[in-house]
Amino acid sequence: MNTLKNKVALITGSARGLGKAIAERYAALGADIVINYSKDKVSADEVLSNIIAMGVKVIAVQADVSKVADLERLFAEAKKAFGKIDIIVANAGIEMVEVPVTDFTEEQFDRVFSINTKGAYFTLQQAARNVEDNGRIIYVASSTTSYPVPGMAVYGGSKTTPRYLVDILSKEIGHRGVTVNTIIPFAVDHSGIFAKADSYPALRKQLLDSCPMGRLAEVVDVANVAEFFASDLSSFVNGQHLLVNGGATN
Amino acid sequence: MSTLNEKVILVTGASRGIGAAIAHKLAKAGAKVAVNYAGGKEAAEQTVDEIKQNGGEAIAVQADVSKADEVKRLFDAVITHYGRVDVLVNNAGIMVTKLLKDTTDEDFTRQFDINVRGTFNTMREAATRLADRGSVINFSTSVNRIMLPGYSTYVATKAAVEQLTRVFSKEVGGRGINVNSVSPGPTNTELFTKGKPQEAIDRLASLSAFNRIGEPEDIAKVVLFLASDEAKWITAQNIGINGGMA
Repeated sequence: MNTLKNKVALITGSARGLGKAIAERYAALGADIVINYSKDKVSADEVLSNIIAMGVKVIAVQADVSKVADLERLFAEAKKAFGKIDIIVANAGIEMVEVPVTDFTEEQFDRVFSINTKGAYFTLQQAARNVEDNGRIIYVASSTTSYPVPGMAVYGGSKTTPRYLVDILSKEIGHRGVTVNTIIPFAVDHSGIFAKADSYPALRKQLLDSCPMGRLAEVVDVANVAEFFASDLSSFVNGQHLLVNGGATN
Repeated sequence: MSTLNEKVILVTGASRGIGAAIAHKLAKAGAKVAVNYAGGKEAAEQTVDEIKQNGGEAIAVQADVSKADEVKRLFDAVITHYGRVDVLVNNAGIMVTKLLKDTTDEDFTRQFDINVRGTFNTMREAATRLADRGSVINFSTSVNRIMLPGYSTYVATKAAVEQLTRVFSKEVGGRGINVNSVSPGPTNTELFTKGKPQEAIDRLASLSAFNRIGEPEDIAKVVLFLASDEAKWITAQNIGINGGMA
């Protein structure tokens, strides 16, 4: 029922994981796609061929979201290729878990905040400047911003700040019919830090035990909600932060 | 993609307003809809007739949700007719807006009976009678977040609904049932606009980022999403549908 035909969607960090799943979902719904990657050109090219096979138009643009000049180039190339951008998903980010407050370093802090916080802030600024009227802006946070987990002070903090920008931007830009919302995913299985089944066993068990549905998220669970926020069904949903976590309390 | 594949959906208080818009939207997406009403028999039958004229499937079932035996009969009737209930939409509710000092015992009791006890009654039946992998969608309000004078008892009932939603989601998650609530802001229904001066409506509209109040269709679209398989990983959540008002 949902269609994104004649829409252009730009998804940061879409060579792998959640970003890839969202890009491929939007393409399946008919949108033309701007893939973004920082370093992993091989994976980005794979997503590119997957999406070409779906019969929509697609480009892949290298850009490091922690550099404003890169972001300006990313949005400029998207505009040049497609003439407009209707949907922006600020998804790019890095994870850092199981590092207690006593242990994190200045270098770790700067790296996580420059990609997750500065990157999201300037991605959303570019989005606000470039999005079409009645467009959609979506920020992908993390459930640790709602349920703090030990060892995630830096990561969770870096993902919390852009939620505040979503609150403000939704009010500043609403008059143009644009909605701005946050997806807050639970830990995603088979992706990121949980790409391998045996990675972080203690954290995996703690998260599983807190979830009534008895599993971690899959990328498809998050793509489903990204579809909702991009679609006409969410036309009056603005400035909201939606947990996608199977009812988990951790 | 948000098609409901013949799910059986019970919408309480669906003869008019937001409930009727939900019934229409869900039926159009392929659901079989039970249109519950308490007193508005004619309006409920008209909603059912319109759904059928548009090629949809629906029945009207009378029951006062504040009465446990009537809710049991409501589930009996839907299950007898359609064989099961997959989704419960607890839309039935009333709103009394008065300063707390002017609110009567009866105002208090009626709102709690319909809004809280009604949601409790239907969820108690749903706990054992809703199909596995079903969904429950409850109704809260965005007024919970902005504290308008005159809404004290109404928002108190809706705060209770949000808590029932969160705890019930943990109790039925094992059967794959997800339980969520939605919080509409001011919405263009007769119930809301009747007797309100235009400037009062304009003032509320100005609180939204889009400078308008919601339409019943805006609410129905989000209920459609929550009733669909795309939303199965969302549970225990509350979604504001208010154009960014809160």
